[in-house]
Amino acid sequence: MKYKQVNPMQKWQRLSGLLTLLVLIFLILPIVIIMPLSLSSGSFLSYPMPGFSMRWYEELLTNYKWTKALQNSAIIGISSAVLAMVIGLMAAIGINAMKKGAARAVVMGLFIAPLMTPLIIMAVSLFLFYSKLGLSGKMLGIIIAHAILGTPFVVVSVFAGLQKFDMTLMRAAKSLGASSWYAYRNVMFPILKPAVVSGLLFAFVTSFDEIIIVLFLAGPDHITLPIRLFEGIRDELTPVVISAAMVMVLISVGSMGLIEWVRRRSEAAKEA
Amino acid sequence: MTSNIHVQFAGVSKSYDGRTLIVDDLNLEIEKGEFLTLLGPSGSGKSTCLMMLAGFEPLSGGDILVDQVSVGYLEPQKRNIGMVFQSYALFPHMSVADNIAFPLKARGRPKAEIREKVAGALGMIQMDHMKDRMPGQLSGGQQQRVALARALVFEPSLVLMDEPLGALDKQLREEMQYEIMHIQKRLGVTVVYVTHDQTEALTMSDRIAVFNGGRIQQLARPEVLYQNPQNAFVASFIGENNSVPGTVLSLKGSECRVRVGTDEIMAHPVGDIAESKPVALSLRPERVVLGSRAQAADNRFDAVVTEVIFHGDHQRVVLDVLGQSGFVVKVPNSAGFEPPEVGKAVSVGWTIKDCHALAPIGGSTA
Repeated sequence: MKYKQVNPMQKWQRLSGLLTLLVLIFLILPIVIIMPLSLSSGSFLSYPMPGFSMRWYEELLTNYKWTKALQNSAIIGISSAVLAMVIGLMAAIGINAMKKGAARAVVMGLFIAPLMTPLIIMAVSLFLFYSKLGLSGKMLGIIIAHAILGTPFVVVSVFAGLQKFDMTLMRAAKSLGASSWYAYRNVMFPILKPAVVSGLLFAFVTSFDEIIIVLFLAGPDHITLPIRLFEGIRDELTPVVISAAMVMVLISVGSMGLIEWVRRRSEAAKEA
Repeated sequence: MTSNIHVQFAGVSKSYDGRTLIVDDLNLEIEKGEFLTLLGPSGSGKSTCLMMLAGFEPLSGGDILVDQVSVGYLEPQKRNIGMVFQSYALFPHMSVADNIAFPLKARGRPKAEIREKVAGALGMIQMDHMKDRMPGQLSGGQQQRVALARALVFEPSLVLMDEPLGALDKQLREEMQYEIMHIQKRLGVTVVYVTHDQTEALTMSDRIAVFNGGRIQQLARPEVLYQNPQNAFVASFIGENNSVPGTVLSLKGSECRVRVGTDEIMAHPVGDIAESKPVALSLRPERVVLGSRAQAADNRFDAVVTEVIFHGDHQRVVLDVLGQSGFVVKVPNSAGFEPPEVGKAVSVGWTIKDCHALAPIGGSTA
């Protein structure tokens, strides 16, 4: 079109665009502003920086206090996410197979409950519960606790995926001679994969960020990255804290990016 | 002695709520190599029968035998019955070739055999060049062909089809009807086919079982079903039909006198007909003649033309006759015949054997 369209709404659109920009800046600025400090060559958390260096990243990857925390976070994050995936996948399939009604709503509610329970309540009750079971101060205890937190994400995501899944495909598989397990493994799971993967990543990010439950349940050997960060800020206050924070941001953003990528790819596959 | 019976429904019944019977004491024998269609309106129990045979719906009573072995309580994957679904049910994440290979892989067949059989099946449906396509990239007809190949590749002797052509447009549906018939005859498999489309059933089937209210109303070859319907339901469901209610005056051998209003009609009694009982007279529109041609007919009445519709090879004439409106006559556009004009009186007639006196719907049926 050669015409210059005059739209009375345009003024308002510009204004709301500006407002959105301001809000975004307000949200991101604190994170962005400290980012360069992780590359500082000095030992203080302040501008101006004396120079650039990778020394704090080196410190992060060599100092036992930090490597141990990274390792703990990775082990707990991955194990709890996988556990949440297995439980969540089975739960979602089971709930989906239930007749619509009160029972189904209750079961669904119970599986989603950890999402709505205040973390501090969960932490306190798990602390007391674990001391009876002998799980307190053990890594397995933290993994189970984080799996409980992550399961709702998998249940919700897989359940949504199942709403779009054509159950006739399972009948077709069986009519073609597939056992139940063969049909699940080769028909249902591959089609649900995007939903399962995004649930898994959400569960991982949740565990990776979580601090309250770890604080209550962890023994001295199970310090995770967020807790180490907190201690670092109190005790050392060197830019290594910022570089650790940067690693956390990268992993979280990376996971979210991955979720989005999986989602788009599955949608593109459907249209093909 | 080997029996020619492939599938047998023995006193099968089905109820979802324990009270209403969807299928009521069904007895049906299907021969080897037969193309049998279960035809009926939705909710008549035909699909439920197919699902019970496939193993997806548990039986409430009776048993189903395949090759004289009870399968009524066997899991579907152990029945070795091919099935084609209305929605095709192709696996969207697998290529055409992988879809067809699925039943062979599920049975753990050796790779070489799978490759050979998949190639054969692709050839049968003439889709070799599309073997790497995904189902989403295929047209409806192509998807249906793949579904057919997948249901046949593991060489089941029995194949079930649940309204497989329901989602296709008219022309493609006709093409696929012939294709399915040819493949079925060539492979010699037994097919149990479910449809609510009577034209499709008449075209494809060796025999048709007409379902209504959970019972088989009539089981017969297509031409018998069309020409000699056993009751008013079958007459009205198969083909076009004029139904005139009346009362039997007298019954003698293969003829009966029926009172309709103030008139009397000679008709051919079918099934459970008795004197002074109500009947439904059934007349095919193409078996009724008009004007001078009606002079020689056994039954002859005066009618008034209310509508004439041109249909190419024939005209559809709608009449008021016997105190009824909407009586349809199909008049072929044969040489030297003048179609009647709207509003004019015309005589209408038919022979005794073309006028069936049937037990009315909802009356005492067999």
